[in-house]
Amino acid sequence: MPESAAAAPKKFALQQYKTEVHVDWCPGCGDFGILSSIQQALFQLQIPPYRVAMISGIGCSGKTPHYIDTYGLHTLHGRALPVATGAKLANNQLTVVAVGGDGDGYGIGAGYFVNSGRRNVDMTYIVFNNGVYGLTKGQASPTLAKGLKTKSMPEASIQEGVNPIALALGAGYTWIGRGYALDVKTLVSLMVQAINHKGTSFLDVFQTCPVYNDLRTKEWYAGEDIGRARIRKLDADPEWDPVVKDPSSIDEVVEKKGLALRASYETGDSLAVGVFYSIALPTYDEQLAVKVPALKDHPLVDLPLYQRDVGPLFAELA
Amino acid sequence: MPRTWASGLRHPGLPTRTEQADLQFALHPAHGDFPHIVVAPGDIDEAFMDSFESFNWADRYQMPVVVLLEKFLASSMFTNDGIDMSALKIDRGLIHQPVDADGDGYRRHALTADGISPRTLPGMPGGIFSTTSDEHDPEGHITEGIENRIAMMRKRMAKLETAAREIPASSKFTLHGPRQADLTLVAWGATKGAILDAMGELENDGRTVNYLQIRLMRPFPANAVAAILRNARLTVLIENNYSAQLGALISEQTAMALDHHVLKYDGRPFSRNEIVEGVRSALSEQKKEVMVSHA
Repeated sequence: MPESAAAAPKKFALQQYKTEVHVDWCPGCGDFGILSSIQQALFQLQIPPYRVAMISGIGCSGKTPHYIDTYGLHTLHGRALPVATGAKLANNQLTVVAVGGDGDGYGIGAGYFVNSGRRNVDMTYIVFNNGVYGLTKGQASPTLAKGLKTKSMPEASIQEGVNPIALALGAGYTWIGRGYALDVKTLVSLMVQAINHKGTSFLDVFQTCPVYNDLRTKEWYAGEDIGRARIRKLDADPEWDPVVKDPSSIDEVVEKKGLALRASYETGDSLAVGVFYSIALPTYDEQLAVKVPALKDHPLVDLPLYQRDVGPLFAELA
Repeated sequence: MPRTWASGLRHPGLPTRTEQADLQFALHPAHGDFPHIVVAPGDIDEAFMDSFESFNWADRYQMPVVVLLEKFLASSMFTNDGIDMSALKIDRGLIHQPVDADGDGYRRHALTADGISPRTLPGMPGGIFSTTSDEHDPEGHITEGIENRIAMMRKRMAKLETAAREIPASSKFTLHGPRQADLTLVAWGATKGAILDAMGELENDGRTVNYLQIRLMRPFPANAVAAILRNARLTVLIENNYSAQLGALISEQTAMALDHHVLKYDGRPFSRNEIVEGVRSALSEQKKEVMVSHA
């Protein structure tokens, strides 16, 4: 952002993106960092609050829209993405941000997660990824790795964890990133990029759950046991370039997806965060507006409803 | 608002055939105690009208509407004399128009006498709301408070009473034939055509015949149905399913049982002859329940 723009007075104050609803997450929850980052990103972008629709599923993450003073729909378990898709198609002038947990998105909502990737509606999906079902007291979620045993589990998991970044690459998401809930500065920057991206942006966020995930703690991410941080920022490598320059080049697409895939499988002592992959492809809404030209000038919700006289059609069939 | 189109026989094994097996499912489609509307058209004209009105009802009453359309109706060819569309009007329900772009104290789930809270549409300046599938206060925020829960349950359920009051009787049921008859056939949905055809043949047996076609399953027109059944001398329920699901609904809503059941559950629609044969068999052999199948 240029200096002059940064200094320009803001029309909407940060406070205008916050509600007075009591936030009832546990003390120390990583969700606070994500909530604060969403509010700061919307503030930085100066999107009028009434132009934003926050859509959530069920879980601790599902409460997020209640804390952000925009249109907020706290829907059903795993169903944030279909509702978000509907909201964007009904009003293409809205900034639509779907939020959910890893259980919500990669478990019960896995089918929607895959199909939203291939659809490329212009919206953002942020996943609070903590490896457990926190709201229901800490059962293993889809991202908990094999062999891990959090404190509410009687035995270690014998299932592999899903790799959300790899799944998103296969599904066709056009912007894929990952952040860390306790690094708000980087997270805000990633959210701003995600919201600005035209198409469906997918941002997985490592989130600490200090109450139920006693393995993936802030100390663990900080690497106190190994003497160096486990989080590795992709853009710290000057060679890292996740942006596809020529979307028509299958070679470049495969090359960039391959690099992203490799980075996504870094586990254990090195966890990559940043932008994994980005490509400019026509959005679903743009393609729809080609078929329905009226959508170029007006959102669907503003188009007048009218009744067609189907009499001539019946007459034709008679 | 969600709208579901249920069709005949999807579950145990005849996906491309027809049956009236899903009435009780349509009435109880999910957990929880919540209001919704279920309407079951009997022919293509009613299917057209009910489809149109279902969108209006979903917006006006802000609740899910199930149009229970049978496979037989959905994939058969029929002709009709044209449909009068002049009376059809699109109704998007109550929309709140904010007077102040900074918000004017609008509450998405405000308590109202008829249960309906005017809505705003995302993107409207001044109309910001929160809503949730969890129990919520008038502002749409989560609460598990006792008094609020009671008020919100009553508010939601009041919408059913509002709908029952406003939906015209002609959309709820039809009594075909004379008001008073020796024999009253009771049925719903796409058995309509075969039953209307069979009535003349059954009258040849020396009885006057009428036919109560029930269309609105929820909110159920219990008082009107009970009045007609009290007035009936002999009743025969006709259903294209195994378990007489409308019979169960009538018993639940009116505490009345029908005299005979004629049922068919071979995955095929009723023919006129099957209706005639089934009714004759039930009456002559004094059977509570008769199964017919000409397959």
